[in-house]
Amino acid sequence: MFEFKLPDLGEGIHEGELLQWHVAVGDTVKEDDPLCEMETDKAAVTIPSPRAGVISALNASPGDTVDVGSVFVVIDDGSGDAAAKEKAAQEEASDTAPQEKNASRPDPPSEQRPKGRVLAAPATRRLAREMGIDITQVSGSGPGGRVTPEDLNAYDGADAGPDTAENPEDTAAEDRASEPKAVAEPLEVSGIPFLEVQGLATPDGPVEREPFRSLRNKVAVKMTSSSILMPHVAHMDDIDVTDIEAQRLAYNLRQADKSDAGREETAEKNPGKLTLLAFVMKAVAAGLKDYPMFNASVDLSSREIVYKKYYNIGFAADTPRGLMVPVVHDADRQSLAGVGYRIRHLAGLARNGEISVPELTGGTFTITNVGAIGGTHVFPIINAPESAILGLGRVEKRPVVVGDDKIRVRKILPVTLCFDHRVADGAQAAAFVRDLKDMLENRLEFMSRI
Amino acid sequence: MVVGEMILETDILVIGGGPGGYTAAIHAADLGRDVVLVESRKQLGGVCLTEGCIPSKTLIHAVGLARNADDARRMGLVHDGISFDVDKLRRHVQKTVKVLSSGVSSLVENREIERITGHARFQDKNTVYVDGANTIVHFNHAIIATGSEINALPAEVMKNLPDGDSGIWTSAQALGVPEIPESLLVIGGGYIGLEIGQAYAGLGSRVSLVEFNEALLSGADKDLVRVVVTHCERDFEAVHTGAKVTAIEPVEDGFRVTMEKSEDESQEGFQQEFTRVLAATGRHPNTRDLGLDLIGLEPDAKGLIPTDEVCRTPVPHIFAIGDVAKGPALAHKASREGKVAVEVICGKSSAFDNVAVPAVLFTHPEIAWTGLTEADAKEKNIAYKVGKFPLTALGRARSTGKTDGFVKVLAEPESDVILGVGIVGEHASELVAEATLAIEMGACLEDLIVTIHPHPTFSESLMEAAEMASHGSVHMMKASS
Ligand SMILES: Cc1cc2nc3c(=O)[nH]c(=O)nc-3n(C[C@H](O)[C@H](O)[C@H](O)COP(=O)(O)OP(=O)(O)OC[C@H]3O[C@@H](n4cnc5c(N)ncnc54)[C@H](O)[C@@H]3O)c2cc1C
Repeated sequence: MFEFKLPDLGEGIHEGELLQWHVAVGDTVKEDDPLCEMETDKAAVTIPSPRAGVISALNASPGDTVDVGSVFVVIDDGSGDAAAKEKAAQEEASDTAPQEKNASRPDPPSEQRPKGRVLAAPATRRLAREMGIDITQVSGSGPGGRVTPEDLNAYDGADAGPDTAENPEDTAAEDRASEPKAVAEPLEVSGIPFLEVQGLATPDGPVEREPFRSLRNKVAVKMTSSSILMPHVAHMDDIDVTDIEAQRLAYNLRQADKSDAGREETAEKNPGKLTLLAFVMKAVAAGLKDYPMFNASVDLSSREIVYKKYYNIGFAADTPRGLMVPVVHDADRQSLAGVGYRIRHLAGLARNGEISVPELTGGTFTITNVGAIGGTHVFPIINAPESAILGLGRVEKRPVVVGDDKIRVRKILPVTLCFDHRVADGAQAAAFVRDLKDMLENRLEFMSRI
Repeated sequence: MVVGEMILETDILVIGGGPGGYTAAIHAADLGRDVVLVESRKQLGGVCLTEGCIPSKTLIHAVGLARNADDARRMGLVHDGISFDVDKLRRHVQKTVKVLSSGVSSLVENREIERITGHARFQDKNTVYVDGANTIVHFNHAIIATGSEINALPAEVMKNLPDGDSGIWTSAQALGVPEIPESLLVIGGGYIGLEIGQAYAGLGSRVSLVEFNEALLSGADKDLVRVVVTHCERDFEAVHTGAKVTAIEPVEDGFRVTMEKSEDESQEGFQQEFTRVLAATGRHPNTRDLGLDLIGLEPDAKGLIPTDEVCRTPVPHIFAIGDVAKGPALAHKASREGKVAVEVICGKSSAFDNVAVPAVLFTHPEIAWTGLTEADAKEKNIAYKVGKFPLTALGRARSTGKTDGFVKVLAEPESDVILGVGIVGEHASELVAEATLAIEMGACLEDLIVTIHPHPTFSESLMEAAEMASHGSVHMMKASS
């Protein structure tokens, strides 16, 4: 009998939402057969079976949140006896003991830790006492289920004890810690005059209720915190992309020919078509070097501004699961074609739910072109802990007054730079956007900078 | 009130100046509390320092040097045999104790802790009377750290011996090294009996040992004990297990001792004469003469004061630590508990939440274990896998000729979390510290395996044993499949 605990899903991830089982109790599985789909804050993952055997219990249902380290599948791998050889004697002994558990779940083998054993460093155990947390209730994300200080912090926030008072019959919810209550809890924003959190009045018509889960919950937390905690300022401008668009389209035609010739797309050899986003991203990566305040974070604990010397540019991608922000690492050091290729590759992974955690983390600046779907200017919220975000509107042909007072049809990209006013001022934002505009409107400027 | 009686007020009263008590007193003073420390002996340090750990280990070390010198003949060391100057040896042991004990005294004085010499008894829940100092102490909190004392042999066995000084050695007397007896009978096959027995065998006495149980060192895993028993069988004249002493009479130059095999009562006992007899039949907590009944504290059947995980007794402002409280009667457990009790009194979030209390036996060779033992795992039906690494395969052990023994690591089968470590061999007492840290930190086998251990040292054996538990060691032959 093998108790499969939800494995580590990535740094800082303590739980996942079960989307779907691929197996049922009684199924025979081979090692590495897919067991289920889990969705974490960051990505969807397929969990493979660690053992061959017969599924004897599934301890969660789709929609449930499963903690890393908790036993969620029990597989009868027939080899409970491997370990059992050594302890044949003990099992005899236990036969005489009264049966403690009744059938509902397969009797776990004698695999429990010595009673009362908490797997955590002594300092972590002390910290738990200081935080008033019963450490035996915290599921550890470390090797072997070791509880780390991070787990304690997370427990304090997300797992602040199941609130089952509302539907006591729902036993399934009993061990779920992170359901919508994280948002339902009274807000502790004391000390802010006029701030009041209103309960929701009884609706006047039919409604459907949906709990905040995984990604939706994550987005809600991030956006609320970011918009409340960061003084946002938006700086808007229009960029004339007529020339760059002409060149881009010509380039893409040539690429299409290559692809038709059957050559495989790779980042170096045949990177495929370029999007306008790739140009913007390269320009941003270059511009940030002169405007470090937009590639920064605020360290609240030390009251310092942290300027980052690396340029990992995230871009918002609308996926069937919701908003995700894949990150092009070191965008400043890749060629234009390389960046273009990465963007398309990552967007594809995100759409198909195959993107991995490292590909979604480590960003230093974000570009969102959700506006491309429609609308002119957008007002994006900064992707904390970054200090700025660039929102792109939709490129449209517009009449523009040019040099000699003539009106011409030009392709215009509306942009908005939202930035954290704590670390930068309006003049710097204006200059930064001016710089981007120069690069994107003037081919030589672009080429000489990137 | 008696004439001349002194009255003191204090925040924290500590009764007993052993490793539990003096640690608690000093820690409390360091945390800014007002402390009174009562100890009935003149010296501080308790059993551990004055008649336990320190003198025994000093003596055992000296004997070990002689044994090493003997072994070293094989390595080309030339000498005409080694012998001891008993007077010098005794003075060396005494001096070691004295230096350490006055060290403890200066630490206590340095904190301006009020120290009273006398025997404390409770009068009520906030008062003790110190006999011998004619002093009353009122306190807000008390820590009982009165330790344990040796069990006397049954009156039935002793009835032919003179009252008062019976002439039977206690461990404390044996550690004073009054003489090297021609022959010595050790009653009791626990670690104290074995340690002292082996020491006297090393000094040149013909040593016999009698133990009531079938096994020696009953708390330790059998495979660890086996290695030491092999040495005892070689170094002792006789080892009688499953046997008991039924009578002792004085004879000229010593004692005539009657022993019986406990398995068949019918059989007549056998008699033998010894120059000296050492009683090492266990210890009991000092809770009988403390006035505990006056404060409503009732020791359990073993004489232990009940405590919770922060060392608090059922009387909430009174704490108990060390040998008077549950758990192994070891000095390091006493001192850790002392710190916990004080921190809790000072409002800190502290608890005796240790997963592993290492046990060390300074036998020849040493035994040490920490965390789960195999015997425990079997009894409690805890699944485990085990990796053993013999010292014969260790470079450093070969180079010192100390190849007797092995290290074993017990781990959880699935997670590889380390549950326990057992060691028998040279330096076991030192190696067990790393193992204890590993267990406290919740380490897995891999943590030990990938940590670089210096070569060539005995510490590598722990890493190798972890490898054996995980997938096999580079330094072992592969099992043929
Ligand atoms: C031969 C021998 C070898 C040992 N070897 C080891 C070893 O290698 N490692 C190890 O960890 N442990 C060893 N021990 C055990 C160790 O000595 C004890 O576990 C340890 O001393 C317990 O500490 P304690 O503070 O609880 O009490 P103690 O050290 O017993 O101290 C208690 C003190 O309280 C005093 N006292 C008692 N009653 C009163 C009273 N009413 N008023 C005032 N004072 C009082 C006593 O005089 C004593 O000094 C050994 C013990 C012996 C006998």
